[in-house]
Amino acid sequence: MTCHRNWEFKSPIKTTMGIKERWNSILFKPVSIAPLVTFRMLFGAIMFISIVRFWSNGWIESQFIEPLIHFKYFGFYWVADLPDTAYYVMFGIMAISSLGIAFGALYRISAVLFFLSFTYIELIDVTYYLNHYYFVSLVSLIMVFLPANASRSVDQRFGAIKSRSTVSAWTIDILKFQLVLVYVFAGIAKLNTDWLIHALPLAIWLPAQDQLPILGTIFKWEATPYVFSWAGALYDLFVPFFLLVARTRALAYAAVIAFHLMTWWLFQIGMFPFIMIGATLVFFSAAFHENWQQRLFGAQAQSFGNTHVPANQLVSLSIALLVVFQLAFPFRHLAYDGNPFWHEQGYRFGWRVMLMEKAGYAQFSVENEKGNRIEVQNSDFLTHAQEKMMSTQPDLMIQYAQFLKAHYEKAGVVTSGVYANVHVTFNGRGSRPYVDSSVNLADQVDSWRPKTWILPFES
Amino acid sequence: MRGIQALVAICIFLSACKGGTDPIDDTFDKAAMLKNIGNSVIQPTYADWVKAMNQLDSDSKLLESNPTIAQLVVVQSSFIKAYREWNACSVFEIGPAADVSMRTRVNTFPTDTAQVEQNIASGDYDLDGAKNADANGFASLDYLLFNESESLLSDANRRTYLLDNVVHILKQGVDVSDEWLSYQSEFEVNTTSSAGGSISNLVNEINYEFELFKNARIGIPLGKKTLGVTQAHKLEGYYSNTSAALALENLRGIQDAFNGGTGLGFDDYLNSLKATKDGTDLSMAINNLFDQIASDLDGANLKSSIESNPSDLETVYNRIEQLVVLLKVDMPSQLGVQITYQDNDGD
Repeated sequence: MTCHRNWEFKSPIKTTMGIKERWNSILFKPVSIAPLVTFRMLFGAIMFISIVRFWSNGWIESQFIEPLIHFKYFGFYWVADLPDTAYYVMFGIMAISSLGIAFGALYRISAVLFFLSFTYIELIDVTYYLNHYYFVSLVSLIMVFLPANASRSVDQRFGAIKSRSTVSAWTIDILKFQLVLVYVFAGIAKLNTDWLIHALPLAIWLPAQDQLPILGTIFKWEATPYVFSWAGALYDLFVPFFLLVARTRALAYAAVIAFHLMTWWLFQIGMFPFIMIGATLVFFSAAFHENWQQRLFGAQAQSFGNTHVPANQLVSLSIALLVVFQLAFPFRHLAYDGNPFWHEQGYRFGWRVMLMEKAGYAQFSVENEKGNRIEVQNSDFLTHAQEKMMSTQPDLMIQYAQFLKAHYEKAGVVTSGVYANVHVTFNGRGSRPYVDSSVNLADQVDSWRPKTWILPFES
Repeated sequence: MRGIQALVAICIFLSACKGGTDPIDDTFDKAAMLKNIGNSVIQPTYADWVKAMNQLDSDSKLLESNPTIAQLVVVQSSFIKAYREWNACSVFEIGPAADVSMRTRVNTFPTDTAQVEQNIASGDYDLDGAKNADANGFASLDYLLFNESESLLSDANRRTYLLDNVVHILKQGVDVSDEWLSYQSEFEVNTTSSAGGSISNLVNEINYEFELFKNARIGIPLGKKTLGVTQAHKLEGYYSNTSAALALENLRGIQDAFNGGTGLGFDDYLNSLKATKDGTDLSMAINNLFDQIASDLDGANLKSSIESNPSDLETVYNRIEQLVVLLKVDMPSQLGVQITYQDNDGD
């Protein structure tokens, strides 16, 4: 077994190769399956724990069943709300299929089911959007195509899949790419004056935690948010590369653990830290993974005959498309004028995590044909969480305005327009008007086009 | 390795140029603020309410045995006193008050007069029952004591319903005020800014109460939810025509919760963070609006304004809207308070 080298830097590329051959030799080079097996087990297990946690927190009830309405993602308005019990069924499917992934039992079906149920549930309501949910959707989609059950799995034990000791390099590298992407984009997003020069929002968030033991004292110091901001930015920008290099890997992984545990301790960010701590193990060498798997599960009984996988044009093309899309999509905010943290156009799906302190208050009014108004009390229609998200996110304001129009028309009000008086504060600056209150929001159609009714942010 | 060295160097550099380990403010103590709000605001406010309720209770019992006009007037006046004292307590729906949903239990308004009459006629009612959520508490007393109140003198069943409600409210007051004594220590050590912490609870309740103030006490009667068609009968204290006085006490309760009375409060907390709004201290901007709204309401008659000249109230309503923004948007954001339990991405 000599395949646990860092091919990334020592790939034996011959100069005579054409681009296509080069590309193929990178993607389809046989490497040990062991890292993929670890990834499969940890991903499945962490997903299972996430589902159980979500369920036992009562969030199926409070996030999906209790709300009167759900805010949809642009382009996914067709995603229908489900009957109450169906939410539990969906979470049941997620729980079972995540175990299927972990144990490699009916792996491919499990991966498909997990991807579909998880993604559908996420698409129910944009209120609960988290970057790491997007990450989970992407990874579970990718996993459908990975032969992660070809070793140390139930499927392989029962002969449902031929045992393999090696897989094409792309199956592991695509996961590494996904992780590098998360970190680097999170790092790029931190390269702004608020984060670097004003240490915002950490200068707000850290002192608020000054009651914590030991660290609490440090959080009272004026320098602390600066140190944390810069350390966080440098960590995000560079840690994936230190993970790629064998010499720095152990230290970088220690930083991964420290960084994510710290964020888990300080902020309400749920399972994200554990997903990253688990997933980044994929950077470790094949020997590392084979070693722990052998200790825990014993030597692999099956023969290690290399199953050579021929290069596949469809796989190459798909990977290329995925990579290009993922590199470009997070930058789409550049197409809009102004501060993306303020207007949030092109903000989601960009790996922007824990970057701003933003809060708003939106007073909606429904106007009838005589110019008389009904002031809307948001708590009549929205949950706390929905109101909080809607009050700072323009696309949700459009959906809400359209809901209100329909609701009041049904109640017999001849509605001529729905208007909003919105005040938003961003990174501790005094609240200021957010949208043009003379624009009929119910008439707006969400699209990629700039929303000109969002008032500019002037600092 | 070089990256780590660089990182350390940058940290040292930043520490050096930003004043190093100087605390942002070494005087502000969240636990002390909570202790003060509990001891010097919440407990005395409850005590005043219970005291007024005891007076109302004994006056109502006298009316039971001695149904005279003179005694009715005494009960009416001790009712208004007790109702006002309750209004200052309403904001503290945390801990023991939250456990029993105190606001809905003792002060759901407007009252369902038909249900009240039905209860009196049948003599069979459970004041804690869901059916009577709109037919109990202060609002039902307001109706009994100030709408054709002479019938109280002739109808013993009405007096019984009155007294039952008084006793019911008094029991809530005594219970919550007792339970607060044991809750106080738990309250003052829970200094986390996360959801469920005392600071988050207080910020939430200050906001919730102030929105009730804006909507239930003024906006809805003013027609803000009904296309400008006023609904004076939805006023708190409609029958006694004490709406403005009640609203003023409610506002005082909220402002005291914010300021921690004369001791440490959110005003000092915001000052320690140097929170500003349009160039002035945020705490001052908030208190200025509280004071302006209070002076607008002082001596006002909400019922007659709403019935004859609703546009008179636009100025105060506008100030109330401004204050909602400061309390709901600026304050929590400056304090870094989390108000929901769910996972977030930090936005």
